[in-house]
Amino acid sequence: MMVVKVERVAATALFALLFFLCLASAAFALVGCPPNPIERNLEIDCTWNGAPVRANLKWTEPEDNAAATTNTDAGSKSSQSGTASSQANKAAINTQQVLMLTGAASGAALAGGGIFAVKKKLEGGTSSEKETKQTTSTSTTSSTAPKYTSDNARSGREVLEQHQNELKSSTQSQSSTQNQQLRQSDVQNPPKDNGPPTTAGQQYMQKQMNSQSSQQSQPPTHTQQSNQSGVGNYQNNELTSTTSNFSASAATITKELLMQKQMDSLTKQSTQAGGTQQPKQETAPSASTSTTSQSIGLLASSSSAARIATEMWPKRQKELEQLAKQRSDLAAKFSTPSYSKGLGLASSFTSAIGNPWAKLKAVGNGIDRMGAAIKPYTTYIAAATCIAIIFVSMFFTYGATAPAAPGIMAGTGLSLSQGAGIAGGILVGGITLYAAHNTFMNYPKQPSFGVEHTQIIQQPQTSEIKDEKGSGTYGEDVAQEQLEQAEIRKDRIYQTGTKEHQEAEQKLRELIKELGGKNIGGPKLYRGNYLHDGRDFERYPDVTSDRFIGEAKRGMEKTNDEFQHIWEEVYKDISLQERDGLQAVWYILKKPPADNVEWQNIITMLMNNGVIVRIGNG
Amino acid sequence: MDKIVSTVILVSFTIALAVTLSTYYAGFVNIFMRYEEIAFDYAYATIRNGQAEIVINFKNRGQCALTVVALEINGVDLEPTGNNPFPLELPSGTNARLRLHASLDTFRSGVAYEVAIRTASGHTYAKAVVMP
Repeated sequence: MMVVKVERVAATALFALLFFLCLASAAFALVGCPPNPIERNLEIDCTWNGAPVRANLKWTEPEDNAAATTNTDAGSKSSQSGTASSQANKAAINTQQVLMLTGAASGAALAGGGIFAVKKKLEGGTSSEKETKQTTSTSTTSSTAPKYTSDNARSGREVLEQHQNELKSSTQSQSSTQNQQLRQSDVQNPPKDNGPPTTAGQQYMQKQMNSQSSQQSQPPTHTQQSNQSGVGNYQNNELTSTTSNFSASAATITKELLMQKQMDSLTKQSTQAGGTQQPKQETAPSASTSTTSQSIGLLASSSSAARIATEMWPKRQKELEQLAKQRSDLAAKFSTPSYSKGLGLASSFTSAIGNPWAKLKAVGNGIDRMGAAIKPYTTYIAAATCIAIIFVSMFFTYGATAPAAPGIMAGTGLSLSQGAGIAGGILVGGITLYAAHNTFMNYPKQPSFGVEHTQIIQQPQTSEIKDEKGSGTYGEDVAQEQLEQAEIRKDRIYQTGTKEHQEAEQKLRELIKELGGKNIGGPKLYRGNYLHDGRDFERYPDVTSDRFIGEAKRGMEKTNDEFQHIWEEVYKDISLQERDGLQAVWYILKKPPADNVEWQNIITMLMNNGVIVRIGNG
Repeated sequence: MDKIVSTVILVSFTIALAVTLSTYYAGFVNIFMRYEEIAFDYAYATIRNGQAEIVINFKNRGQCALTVVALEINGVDLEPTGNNPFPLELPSGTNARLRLHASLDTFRSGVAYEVAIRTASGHTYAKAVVMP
């Protein structure tokens, strides 16, 4: 902490010193130091109307002009006059050079300071904040979960890859018909030309598959101890430390899920013993594999458990078939790309080989990935560009004003410097305004009417339909429009204005404050990229702070739409946490029902990726 | 705290940028928008040691250097007999004193003489004195 303070103080002092020196030198340059006057005396013998006249001219001039004895004026007829018209502006040019150098140095120093500050901000705050973050993470996750002691020890990408592997294994374990259906709707492993999933249907399928695979493979989250003791250490980590009253229901969930897991495993064992199909082993961390194996061993030795597993497996298989059919239906329903407005493209990504749309999407995804790769360095690139423009502009300016510069070069230099100066001014001004906009204005970007109320625009639009206007009376009848919007809002899934949600937000604010968050505020726009496919997204967390993004939930969500929305938020928060160094915090006001497996999967996904989850008692 | 730091940085950067750009463009404006001006402080004519003397004190008050290309008396150029010192540059802000010595036959008493300074820009700045 002390080192960090010293570092911050030193950086601030250095920055202030540079700034002061630059402004002070600029002030001195503006005022101008009085040069030592040099007296000159010139005797001229001449004639006037044939009579001799002796002229004496005596003058004093600044020191800078004393050396101006080179005559480069093309119109001059004397080589010893000591003056030239091209030298006439030397003093002004020197002053200008001093001022420009001062300004450039000032700008460079400020840019350096800005880069330092932005770099610190991009890195998620100073080292002290990192220390706090690490401490917080340790206190919340490492008490009972040695696997995930570091909040980012296991990246979201790895988790997603694991989900892909689990998905493969679960897919292989099903029948061939199911397997084919799943391949058609497999968004985790699309064909190479297909690109990542972008449609709502594919995302929904992905979520469903994840939930299914989570049901089938939960080895990291279940321990033998939890089953035996009945304490119900769901996930065996921070859930216990963050909430105590959830333990009872978690115990039930644990038992149920563990039973399913063990049934699956026993079935596989029996299948392997029979020499038939050998399902692919699920990918699971070794730490939990041992405990799971022990559980399997214990239960395998129990004939009653084996009998239950044998009886339950057909039912389970039937459920999987229903799920596969549901996914297939949804894939057909949402096969149209979400943002194909006006294009009328209804092609699915599943048949995109050789499809120009898929190729175009592939190119677009490549650009997105490149943009995502460059994004962390945007500040540096912009600052370097500004400094380069300033120095290049100065170079051309000096070249143009040099005494020996040819006329064409001088003109070219002046023109280029003017252009560079204007471009630099516009660029720097734009960046400054953009930074100011992002720094001070917390107004979130307002979604359009269509996006806000329909989320997915499936209607192919013609040239006559260019904007979504609800019933078509938008702007014509205000009262009718308000009624329609009220009707639409009634069914909104974002119930951020409810009393429960407000209470959850308040608790979330207290939690973030407890974790050391500063500048706690309301929703703020974050832009990021999904870890698994690099697509851009926008995220408005309920509560934001210097390094925390908080999401408040009522905990009573039930419908598929609600969970689809929550899964999107989960992926976004994990991506923001992984790539932007933010710490996501979720507060769930009411403990989810014990039979709500979807919520348990969400909580598991969050905690596996280092998200701090706290569940209240409602 | 972060907002304060961000504010300081942005304001500082804006000020520095404004100073740089204003100086940058003001320099170009000054180069192409200069004007020339000579202010005569005083002028007199006297007779000293049997010779007539005309003294003119002037100052270059223009924004640029003044290039003297010739001196005139009553519309007639003074022609150098040796090396021609013209054009002669007088920087901006220069105080100069011009003395003209001639015999009493050349500058006669009671006659008004108009001494003019002709510059490279084509302007002529004249000052008249009466020989006592």
